[in-house]
Amino acid sequence: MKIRSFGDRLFDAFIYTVITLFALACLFPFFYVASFSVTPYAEYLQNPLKLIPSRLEFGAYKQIAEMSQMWTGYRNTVIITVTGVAINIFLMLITAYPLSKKDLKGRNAILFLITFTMFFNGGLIPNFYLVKSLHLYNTLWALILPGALGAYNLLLMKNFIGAIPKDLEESAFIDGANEFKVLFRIIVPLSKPAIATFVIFHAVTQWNTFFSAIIYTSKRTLWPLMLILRDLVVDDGGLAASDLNGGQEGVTVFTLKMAIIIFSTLPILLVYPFMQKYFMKGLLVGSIKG
Amino acid sequence: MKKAGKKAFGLLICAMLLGSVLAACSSESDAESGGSASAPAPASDSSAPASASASEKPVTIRIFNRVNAQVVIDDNPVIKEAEKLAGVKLEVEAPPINNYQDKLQVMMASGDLPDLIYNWAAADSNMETWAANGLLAPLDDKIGNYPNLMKNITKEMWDSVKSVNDGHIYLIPRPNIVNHWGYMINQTWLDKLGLKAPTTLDEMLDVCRAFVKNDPDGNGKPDTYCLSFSNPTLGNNTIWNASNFLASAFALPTAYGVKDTDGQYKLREKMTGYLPYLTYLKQLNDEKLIDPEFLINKIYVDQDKLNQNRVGIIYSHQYGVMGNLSKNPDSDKLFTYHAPLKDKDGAAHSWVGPAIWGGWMISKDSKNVDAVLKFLDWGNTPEATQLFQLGLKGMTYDSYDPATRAVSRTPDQAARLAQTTSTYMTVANAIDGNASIIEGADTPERMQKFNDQLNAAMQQIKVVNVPGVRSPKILNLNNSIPDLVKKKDDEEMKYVLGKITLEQYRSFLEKEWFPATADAEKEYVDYMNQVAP
Repeated sequence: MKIRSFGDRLFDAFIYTVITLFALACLFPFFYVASFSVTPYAEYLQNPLKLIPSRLEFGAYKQIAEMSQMWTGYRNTVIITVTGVAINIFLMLITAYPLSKKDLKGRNAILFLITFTMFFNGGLIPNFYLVKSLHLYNTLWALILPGALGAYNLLLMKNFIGAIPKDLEESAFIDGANEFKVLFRIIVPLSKPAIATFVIFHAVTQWNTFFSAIIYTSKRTLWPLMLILRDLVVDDGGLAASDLNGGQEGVTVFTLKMAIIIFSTLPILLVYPFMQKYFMKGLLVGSIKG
Repeated sequence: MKKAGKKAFGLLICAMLLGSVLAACSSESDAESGGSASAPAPASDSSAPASASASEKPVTIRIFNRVNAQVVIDDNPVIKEAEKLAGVKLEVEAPPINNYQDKLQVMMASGDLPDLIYNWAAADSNMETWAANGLLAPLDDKIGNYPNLMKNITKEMWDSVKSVNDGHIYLIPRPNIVNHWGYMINQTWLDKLGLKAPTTLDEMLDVCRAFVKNDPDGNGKPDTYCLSFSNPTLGNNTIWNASNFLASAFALPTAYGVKDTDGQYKLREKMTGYLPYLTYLKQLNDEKLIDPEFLINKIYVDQDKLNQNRVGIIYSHQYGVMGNLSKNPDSDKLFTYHAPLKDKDGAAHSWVGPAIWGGWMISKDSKNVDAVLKFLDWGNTPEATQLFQLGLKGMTYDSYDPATRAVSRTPDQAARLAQTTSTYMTVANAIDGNASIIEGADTPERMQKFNDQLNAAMQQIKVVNVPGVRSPKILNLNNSIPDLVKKKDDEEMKYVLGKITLEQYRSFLEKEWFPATADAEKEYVDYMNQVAP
């Protein structure tokens, strides 16, 4: 075992201190929001930096639970996330696999067309027309289909699949497998880290969707959670404007805002740690060309 | 591996199917309701009489409105009651309040317009563009047939929304509460220090010095400031609004449309009180009586600082103290509202412009222009305003007295109110300048406090009615000479902050600002001499 000098240990201590401080700096805003969502407002007024409340006040969460639109928002967000991710991964696999074949006819033309969409698109109004003409307006499909397959992620996936040794496929073909069997029995299992990464990428994107909902829906029952969150929190949008439930002591616009932020980010925060190992691996997806 | 691959593929397909079914369910239900939305409207062309018989199928009106997020639009009992009372079928589209303008622009560009469209900024440049592009119905010839519109919307309000391009009316103003801007002060600080709310500039200086130096919050630390302002976006001159209660003492109005003390209309920077007002602000700043962060405070931050006992005075109208109850449950016990400061002649000015909160535009393609106008006419009655502001008896309140505007409701009813209606839902937010309720004043004690403070302020206030200024050049300086406007605001603040002298600032005004704005000033002065000589 290598003997570590005092200098090495000192350097390690320094690195750990910096990393710990950085981690705390990242954690602090979330902790701040979580703390003040359960702090009586009077305590916040006395000391806006007091992070540990003397007692916990859950009135704001009770009030949020009674807002019916929060639950429809949750439903919509879960639908567009689950469906969006499933469609995204399916489309990405069946597109990336053939494109990874160098002998595919017209491959370069197709890749050019795909890459072209990374830099140019129709713009807001043409997209609005398109969605209306396809009768997607005022449906949840309008929040799923337009962004179902992103060019950048597709190219990364193509590179990842292209890096899988050809010999594996060839041996499967010799054993009598067809292209679909090779894709779903050889390529998909070997691409798990990449798939997991894109699941996270797309799930987070779909979870945070709000702008397409503004443009492509006019019904509040179709609003995803993030749109509701944004509209309630930004500039006191929906909260200060209307009477709050004055009977619930300690609940103010401020505590309600804090609680709504926690309420809507908690699910994705709970899922993230379980996906993190794939996320770390997947960051290098497509970066090494075989 | 074979088994695992199959399993993963199966799971993927299951998830897709499940998601598709769920999404399709939503689409179907939307398609159903969307179907009724796109169904041909019942026979009611623009030549139909305004009073349709009860047996006829009600006209469907598609409304595009700006409503806060808490209100649930679908199956809304208040909307249903409005349909019953007005004899129409309403289909309300309410995009997110913070992106209302984005969605409105996209919708107008797409050309697929609802019957009735709310425009927050009233007769702004967008309205002018849409009118010029033929998207909006001109309403001049029709509005005279609707008595409630003519009664509740004053001549000044109509004048303030006439198109500057062709003089037609394309927008029905949404009448709003008449606000009397003054200030809100921490009454407990005043009481502790044995002071009275200031009414003059000298008294304001005394109170401010005491608020900063005499530890009004009793924590033993010199951590309080007297005044704060919010959102002084220099390009928008918001500092003017936020310090209106001080500017009043210099007879210096926050908006155009008011004569100077010599009886002449002129550019604000040429008015008699302008430089003395800036000099007074400078003195407050030099003595460190103003919150030093006032230049970077965003909207409502001044209110937060008042609630946090960091400052003692912010600007406010008569509803500010009770409205602040949603942020500070002790607002009515801690703070009081007062009139703006008196000028040297003893007048506390309240300049009241046309009190409108945006307005309603009717699509030129609408087949129901008369039915829409009839609905707006109903919307300008006390019945409609009370419905949209109070909700439904039994559901959102127990009792209501129109004479005193006292309303009683349980906590459950208050929670239901927030989900069923808000002031954003109103067609007219005020009848004769008054709302149906006083926000927050939900007990007799609070109502009494509100009335006492308002009455005391009104005894001091001199109300000055200001006509709507439709002189485009003076209103568009931010667009026509943006860099110079910014420079002027910067120089103004530099003088207040002591970075340049009065002579330097005066020199800038004379050499750069006055020549660049001479044309706009002339147009403004000519316009005002014509409409209010």
